[in-house]
Amino acid sequence: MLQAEKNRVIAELKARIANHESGAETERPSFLLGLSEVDQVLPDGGLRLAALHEVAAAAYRDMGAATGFLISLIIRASRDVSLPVLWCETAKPPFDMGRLYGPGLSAFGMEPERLIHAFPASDADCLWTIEEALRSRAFSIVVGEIDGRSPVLSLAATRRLQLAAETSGVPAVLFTGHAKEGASVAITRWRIASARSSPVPYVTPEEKLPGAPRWKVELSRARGGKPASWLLEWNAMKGAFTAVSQAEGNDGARPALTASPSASPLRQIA
Amino acid sequence: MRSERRVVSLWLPFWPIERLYRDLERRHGKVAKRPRAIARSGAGGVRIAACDQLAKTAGVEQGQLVPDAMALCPSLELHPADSDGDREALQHIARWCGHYTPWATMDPVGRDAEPDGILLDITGCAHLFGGEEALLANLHGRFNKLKLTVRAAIASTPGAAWAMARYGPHPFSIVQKDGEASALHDLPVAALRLDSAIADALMRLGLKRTGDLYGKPRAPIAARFGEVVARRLDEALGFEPEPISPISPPVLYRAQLSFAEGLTQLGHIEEAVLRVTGDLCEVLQREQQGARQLELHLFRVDGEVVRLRAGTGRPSHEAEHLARLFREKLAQAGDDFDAGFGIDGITLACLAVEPLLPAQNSFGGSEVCRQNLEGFLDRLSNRLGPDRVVRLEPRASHIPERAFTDVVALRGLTPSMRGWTMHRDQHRASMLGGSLPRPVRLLPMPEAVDVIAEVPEGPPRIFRWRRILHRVARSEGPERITPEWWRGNRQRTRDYYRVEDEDGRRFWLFREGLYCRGSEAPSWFLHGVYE
Repeated sequence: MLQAEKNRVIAELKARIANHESGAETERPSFLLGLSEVDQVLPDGGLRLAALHEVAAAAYRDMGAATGFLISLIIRASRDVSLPVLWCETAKPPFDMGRLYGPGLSAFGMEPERLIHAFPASDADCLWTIEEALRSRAFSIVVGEIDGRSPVLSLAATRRLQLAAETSGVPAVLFTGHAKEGASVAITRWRIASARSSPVPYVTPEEKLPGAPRWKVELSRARGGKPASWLLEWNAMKGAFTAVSQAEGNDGARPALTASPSASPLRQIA
Repeated sequence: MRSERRVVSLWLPFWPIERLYRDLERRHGKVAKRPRAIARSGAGGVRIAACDQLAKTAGVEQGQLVPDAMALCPSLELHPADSDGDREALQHIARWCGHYTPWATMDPVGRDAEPDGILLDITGCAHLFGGEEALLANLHGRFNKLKLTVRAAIASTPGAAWAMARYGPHPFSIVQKDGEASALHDLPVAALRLDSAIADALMRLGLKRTGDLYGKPRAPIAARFGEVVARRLDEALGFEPEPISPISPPVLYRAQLSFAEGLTQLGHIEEAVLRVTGDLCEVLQREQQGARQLELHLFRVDGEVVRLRAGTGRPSHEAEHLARLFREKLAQAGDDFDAGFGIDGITLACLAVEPLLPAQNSFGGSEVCRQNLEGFLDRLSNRLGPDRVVRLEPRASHIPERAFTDVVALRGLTPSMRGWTMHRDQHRASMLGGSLPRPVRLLPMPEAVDVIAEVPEGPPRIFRWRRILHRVARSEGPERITPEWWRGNRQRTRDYYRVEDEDGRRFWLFREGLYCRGSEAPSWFLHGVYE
């Protein structure tokens, strides 16, 4: 009996050692976007916590949509953690799209009291702030708004941020505006475009009211995963995404004006 | 009741002219030897206010008319008087004397019209320099390095020290406690800090020396010259108190270090800062106090003072943490940081403290997280400036740009920040009454847009913002927001619309003003961008 117990323990230990030696991917903690269509495409089954991510707008006019998507990421990343969120942007905003608005954030589903807003004077200070914030482990997520064209945002700079995120286990998101993609070690990169909002329930289409926000979300790069794109809708009350099918996205109430096939939101880029 | 006070009065007898030389040297390096004088317009024309030794040997005197002086010494180089500059520079030196005592100030009373000295209250400080004689020697040495002639006296009252410094027989003198009356006995009455007119009048009456005034009936003198003579005498002899107000507010805790040689390397200065912080923290820990506001003074050999301030979100007496706040400031100054010819003294003053009881270090996660956050916010606020690290606080206002305010994050979570939830619930309730959801980004200023609407009071159909044309596909509104009449500003009523263009971009626009007779036509603005 005793011998059997011993054998079982030894077998278990052997299996564990074998597992380690084979270099099998250890579980990397991640947070879920809460939508299986998206989460299963991502290499870690969600967005990896200890890593650098990038969000960009597809065009200058899509900055609002990209901000919305980014805030929904913040909400998802900080829902089970009680730590505050750091958002830092250079004091002279590169994109001139205004600053985060408390009442709007709370309507969107985020708690503005958790937000700490920093306004460094230069992009270099902004990078310093992000890195130090990651290393302090005082935040659930750290967001930096830096123009993707900024000369300080080099490959080496993103590597520093990635390293800081890795050692602290805190996710970092760079919001790079609408610039063309620069060199970066970010493990995921998202491009966001606006999409026409959902129909409002219980209202006749003739009234033409804007509904819940929808975005064309393109995962343009995912290390260890495939690029993909979706049409997502954000539900502020539930704090969750819902996927919208192509047909519904172009439903009859609003005829598609951009009817070119390439604009189809569900097309897989892979 | 005689106090135990000890005061140094410093007199710079050649102040304006020596400052002129310092300035010239700084500007041109080497200064050619020639007679120079400072001129100021006075009674009957421009007169010589001060002159150097060369001019003096040529016969130039203070108070002479400039043409007379020029006649005596044709090569005289004249400079206009700069009283404000003189005062400012003197104030600077007074601040630099903060190295000796925090109670240092420019002496407002000069021997002539302009201030020409500094007062230091060294009560309880002299021993730090090895006694009063050593302190005077130290002062002498340092002012020599600054190329300033100085006379100084230590006494128990500012008045007596003033008199001894300016009229005493020796350039450096110490008047022992209760020795003022005999020390001042033989000095001229002008030593009592009296107006030259009053001093002259007293001289004419035969009251030539201070001693002549001792024991004289006061009423006749007061009747003729006012209370001032008796008051100045009492002040000098210590019968009437005379406070010194320091330039900077008095501090509770202070630590200092002096060096024989000036430090010039940043690394050494940082090391010194760490050491002085350690000294201060030792005292703070003993007294169970934590620093909230600190000021670091770096005294340069050439008489300049570099001042750095740092604040903390929570009281702290950890030397490493506090030193790091200054290290970041020094690092940020980087190449701009100018140690001049070196730094030979450092003081660290604690401007604000709060009780800090020793805390049990818990291994609980939340406590560690709180400390992490506070430590980080301290460093960030000191590097970027406290008003650049903020939290948002809701405010009770319907005007969108007034519905929130920035609160310095160092102040921590204020109770009203928890009001965001209430704010949101209220807003959700009012949405039933036609209120619109708010955008996630608000422009700092509403931006004017060109709008075409189907009906004047309807939502926009097409609008142009930042040179891009947007065709509105869907819209919601209006939500009318009337100005806050109690503010009394002439704002107009706004009608807000939430619109979505054909590509799905959502904006927050408003029409300012109403369509009614006799008023300005309404105009359109874009105020926010939706997600």
